[in-house]
Amino acid sequence: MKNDVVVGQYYPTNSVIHRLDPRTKIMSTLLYIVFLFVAKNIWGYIAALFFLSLAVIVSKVPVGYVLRGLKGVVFIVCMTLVFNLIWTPGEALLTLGPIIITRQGVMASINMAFRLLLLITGTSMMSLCTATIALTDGIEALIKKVPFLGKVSHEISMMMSIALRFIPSLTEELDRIMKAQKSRGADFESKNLVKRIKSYVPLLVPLFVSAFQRANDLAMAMEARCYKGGEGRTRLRILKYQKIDFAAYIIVALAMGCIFATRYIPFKLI
Amino acid sequence: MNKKIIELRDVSFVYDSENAPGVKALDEVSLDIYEGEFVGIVGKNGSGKSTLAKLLNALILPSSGKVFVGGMDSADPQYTTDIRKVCSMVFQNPDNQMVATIVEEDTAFGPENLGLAPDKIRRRVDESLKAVGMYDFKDKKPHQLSGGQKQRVAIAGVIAMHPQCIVFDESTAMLDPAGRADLINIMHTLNSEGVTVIFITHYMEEIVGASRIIVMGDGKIIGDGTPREIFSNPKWLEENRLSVPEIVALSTALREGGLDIPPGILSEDELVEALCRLK
Ligand SMILES: Nc1ncnc2c1ncn2[C@@H]1O[C@H](COP(=O)(O)OP(=O)(O)OP(=O)(O)O)[C@@H](O)[C@H]1O
Ligand SMILES: [Mg+2]
Repeated sequence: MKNDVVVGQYYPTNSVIHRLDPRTKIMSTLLYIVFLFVAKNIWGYIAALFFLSLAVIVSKVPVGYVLRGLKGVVFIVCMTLVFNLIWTPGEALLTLGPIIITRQGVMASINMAFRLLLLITGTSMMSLCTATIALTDGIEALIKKVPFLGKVSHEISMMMSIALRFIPSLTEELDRIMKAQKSRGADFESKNLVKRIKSYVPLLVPLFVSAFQRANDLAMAMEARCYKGGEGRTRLRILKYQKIDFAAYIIVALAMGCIFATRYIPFKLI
Repeated sequence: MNKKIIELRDVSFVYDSENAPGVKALDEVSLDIYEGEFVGIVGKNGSGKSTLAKLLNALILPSSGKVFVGGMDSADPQYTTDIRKVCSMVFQNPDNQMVATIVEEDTAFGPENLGLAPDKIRRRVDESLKAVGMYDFKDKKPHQLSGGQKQRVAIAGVIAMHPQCIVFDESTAMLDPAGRADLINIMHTLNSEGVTVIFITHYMEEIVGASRIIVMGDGKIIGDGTPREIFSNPKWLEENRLSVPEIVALSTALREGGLDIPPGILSEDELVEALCRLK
């Protein structure tokens, strides 16, 4: 379904990773991201790639699916590469008119490219292996532990879950409004960028009106079902760490230790 | 006589908006509804049906007069939650009343708000989804369901709270005929299990099986009786811009055409029987 692409991209396989507590997966992903920045050289990225591949294999998610997450960000990655390449000062390798490519620039771009690609594949692995509902539950449970934010953890998770619930409805709505306006001659495919952006403005008004109508209806439906905020509310599902979660934490800790150790590998690959 | 579940005493309701003078949506309405009744409410657009429905749920409070639900005064904030537990509501738009991203979480929303223990919530979710025939869909996302299925999920969410009374405000309006028939069947099943049903609709056919029909007009109750009584006066109904079920219209036409058919026929079977009795 087209709309499934918009919100997360859960790929159920019932692997060990899928069965982990969402908190374990979120925390592991956070750790993984931190350690991508701790890694200093190519060895670190190779180690990260190795552990990531291990996770992909264990999760039984097809590699094609995992890589698909990269498609949307190729442009951003290329942009960062270019900027890093031309704007890093250092010893010149190559001069093309006003543009000077430096050795440091090349190194920085390679570093950045590895980091970004590993970061995006890693986070998309998390969303492939965690149902959205578990993800919001996990985030709520984790936020509860954060000082200051803890008090509003219920509100934050409610907002997330309502947003996730209504994004497909609103994209459907947008589609419908676009079709309605197209049939009256609106041009959304103009080559002229200004014209094209302008043609989107009339879409916003009906979209906002309908979003507010929905919000109104939903608020009333929630109130009618005795909703009065997070206080005194219980949950159908209660998150509980299992043995596999502790095992997972130990494995993740070891993996991060390995990535950290690569900082001290003396010989350079490039 | 059964116990009174809803009692309205001289209730008026005025919508106040900043620029327009207040619209009086309900005008000194008094009404009693008893446990176990199946009440159909009809009336033209803007006659105050939805306003009445929201009053029963303490979603709005009367501008004057009193609303009692299960004996509790809706104007007293300490009863608000209890009133909503007694009398719940299913709305018109199936898209805008699901809160959660999957079906069973949505059904659990009400019981979660009531603060029930997880195993109890699980039991209620399962039994409610089974009652509306949506148990097999419990892991689906809302946009994977048809309108009729979403509306059944909305009902499951309401019955999971074990209300004594459910108000359906045009809940069938956005469904196809099959979805509509399903929903009405569910309402009758619930009613036979002792739940008081209040069903607001524009389709007269849908409330032929009600135990009582209330007709609203311009913020007042202008008719109140059994379907037989209400439908026996098609002229009056048409004056109030309400249609008559086909069978009723047909038997009236036959009677006016000179056939000896008694007034107040509601179903095909009754009409067939009356026709067979003719000499
Ligand atoms: N939020 C509001 N603000 C101002 N006026 C309102 C509001 N909601 C309803 N009204 C007015 O109150 C009157 C009664 O409205 P209500 O929605 O109760 O009618 P209804 O019988 O449910 O109509 P329908 O069959 O169209 O659903 C109408 O005149 C309407 O214009
Ligand atoms: Mg209405």
